[in-house]
Amino acid sequence: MLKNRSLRFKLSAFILTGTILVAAVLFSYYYSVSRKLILESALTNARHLTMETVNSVENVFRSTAKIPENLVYVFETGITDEKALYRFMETVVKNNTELFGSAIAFEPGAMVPGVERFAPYFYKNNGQIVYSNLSDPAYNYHLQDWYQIPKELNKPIWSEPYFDEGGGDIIMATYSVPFRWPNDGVNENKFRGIITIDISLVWLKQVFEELSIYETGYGFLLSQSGKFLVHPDPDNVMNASIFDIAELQQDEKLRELGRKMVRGQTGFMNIIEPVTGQEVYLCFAPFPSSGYSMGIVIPTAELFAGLTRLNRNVAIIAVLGLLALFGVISLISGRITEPIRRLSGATTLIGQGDFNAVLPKIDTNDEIGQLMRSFETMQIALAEYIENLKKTTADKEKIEGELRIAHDIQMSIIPRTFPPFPDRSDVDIYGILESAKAVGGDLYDFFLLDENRLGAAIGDVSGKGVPASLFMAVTRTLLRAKSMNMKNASPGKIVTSMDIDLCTENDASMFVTFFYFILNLKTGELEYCNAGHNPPFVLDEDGEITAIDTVHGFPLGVMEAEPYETGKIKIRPGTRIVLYTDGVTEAENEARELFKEKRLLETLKLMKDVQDPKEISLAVKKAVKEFTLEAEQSDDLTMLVINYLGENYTSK
Amino acid sequence: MELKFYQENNASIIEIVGSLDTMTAPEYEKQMIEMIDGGSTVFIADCTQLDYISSSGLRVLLMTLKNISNKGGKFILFGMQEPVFEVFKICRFDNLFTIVADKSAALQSIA
Repeated sequence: MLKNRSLRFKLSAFILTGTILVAAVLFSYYYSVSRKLILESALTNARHLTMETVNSVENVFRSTAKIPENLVYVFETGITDEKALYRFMETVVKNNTELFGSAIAFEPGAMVPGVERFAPYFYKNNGQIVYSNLSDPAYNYHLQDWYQIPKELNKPIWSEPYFDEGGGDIIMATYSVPFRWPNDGVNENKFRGIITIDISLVWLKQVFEELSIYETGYGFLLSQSGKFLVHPDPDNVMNASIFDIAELQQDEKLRELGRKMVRGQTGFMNIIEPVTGQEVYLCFAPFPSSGYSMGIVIPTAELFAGLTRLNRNVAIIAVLGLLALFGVISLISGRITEPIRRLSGATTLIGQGDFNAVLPKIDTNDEIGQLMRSFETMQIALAEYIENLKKTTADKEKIEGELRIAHDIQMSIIPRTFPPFPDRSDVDIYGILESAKAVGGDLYDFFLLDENRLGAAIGDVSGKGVPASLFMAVTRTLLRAKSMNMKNASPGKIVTSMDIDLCTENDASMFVTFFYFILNLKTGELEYCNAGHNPPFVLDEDGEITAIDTVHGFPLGVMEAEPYETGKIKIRPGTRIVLYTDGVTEAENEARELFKEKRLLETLKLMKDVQDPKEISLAVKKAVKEFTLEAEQSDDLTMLVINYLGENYTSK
Repeated sequence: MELKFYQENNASIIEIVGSLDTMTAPEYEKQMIEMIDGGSTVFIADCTQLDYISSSGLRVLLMTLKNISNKGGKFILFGMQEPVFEVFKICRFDNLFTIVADKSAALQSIA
């Protein structure tokens, strides 16, 4: 991904990535620790707030609980008649503002002997104190919860809060206290009845409303059974319990909270607020006297609002810082890579052939300075090298030009006009000489010694190229000179004479295989001498192929030995003589196989009825080319074909 | 082509491996001249791995022969494969060089 990016980009990317990673780790650590500290502090505060609330509410409950004790005291002061009791009760209800009403319910006959139910009740109604008797047999107060439960438990209890419908639709609760009398040590602990007081719980709502908990945090109060006594949502108050909501939301955690609170436990919980759906922290504690339980709800988001704000600021600072860092890195890496870019520009110019392109000047001795000096050295070396190459190329072109001329000269010294004797009907000749290099060492030649005699030769100088071509030229010159000087000499004599000249001062050990024959065109007598050359083939007028396979000695130039002898055969009109060099039989294909005599013979067999020497020559050449295909020509390819027709020959 | 030299029974033995042609002949010539100028006079050419010889190859062999003979030395070839021997025969070089069948025959002939 980064492969195609600039060094500057990569450097910036790596440093920035590293910085971001370090910053992220630091930030995460700082964030989690801060969060923990904030949470701890918030929970501590919540606990304190809860305890303060519990204490202040408990004070009210406790002071309220004193009232029935005062009432019990009435009996101790000796009030025994009903009127005095009524007056006393009326005074108590009137003087205690928090008191909504109070009743004293007696056991049968406990107040008035023989009276089954006696339970005077005083309560406030529109500012007036109203008297009522609860002794209605249909109501039968002895069986009511507020009477029976404290009696059986033998301890005061707070009732579940309720709406007092007749008393102005306010939340109330009743505190029921069992009393014993007389307390004179004789009939001690005789249960005499229940004293109740009704108090309004409206003030509790005010206490909770005054709690200040972050933005939207709030407090709530549950009754012994989990009913909401105080809750920000008025619909919940006295209507729903925490278990109802847990059931509705299918929230197991909320249910667990309810259970803990109803059991009177103290603690913290992390729950989802059912109405807002937000995560909240919750601190809860019971009111020991009444069995009610309060909770404080702190929305987590608000708890960490400060931290979130801080985070946002830190993030903004981090982004700005990273941008600044990116700018600085870009600037620095740009500075560092700038010489490299300039160098790159200069080397591009060099690559395009401008060897004098000015390399940027770098004075430093760092890696870039070293690179620059290496390039300087390379530039100089390259310029020199190219200069040399130009010179060498020029020299080579000159030599090649000269070789082309040499080639033309070489070609001009062998007969290349075919047919050579257009006015003669007794003989036709065709020759091919294709050098592997510009100039070669193969040669052929033919000439008329007199009206009736044809001299013809083929030769192959060892090696190739210029040395071979010079040796070839010498050989051909000697052949002509000797033949013209010794017109009647046999081929053996001519060849022997040539050999003596070629062996003289032959330090390079050059030699030439050579076949020379003289054909009497009138008689068909053929005299020949073979100095180490490939045996020529003879296709007679019937298509029979034979080789002239007598070899008379070494190639010319090897060593002066015995004089070469002369062989003699006689051929009939219609005979074709095929002379060739090893460029034909040793032509090599790409698999490094040789053409060989076998293939030459096969080709010649196809030509047994062909008289035209040109056609035969070209057929052999074509066969060789089809054999070698793309392979480089390894040796000079030379052929000379003589078609002997004699006098009055007619094709069959 | 590859040339390997080693001494045996006072003779310098040359293994000629591969083709001896226009391309490789100069290398052969150079190395042989070094050996001859170094004073060796008795040479045996192991031709068992000589696959091909061209006229250029023949020329350098001839040059070696002439050089060694001028110094009164000996140059013997052995183990020549049939195609190579054919080339020798065509130009009669089989009459010029001492060619034997194998190394032991070559060593005998210099003894």
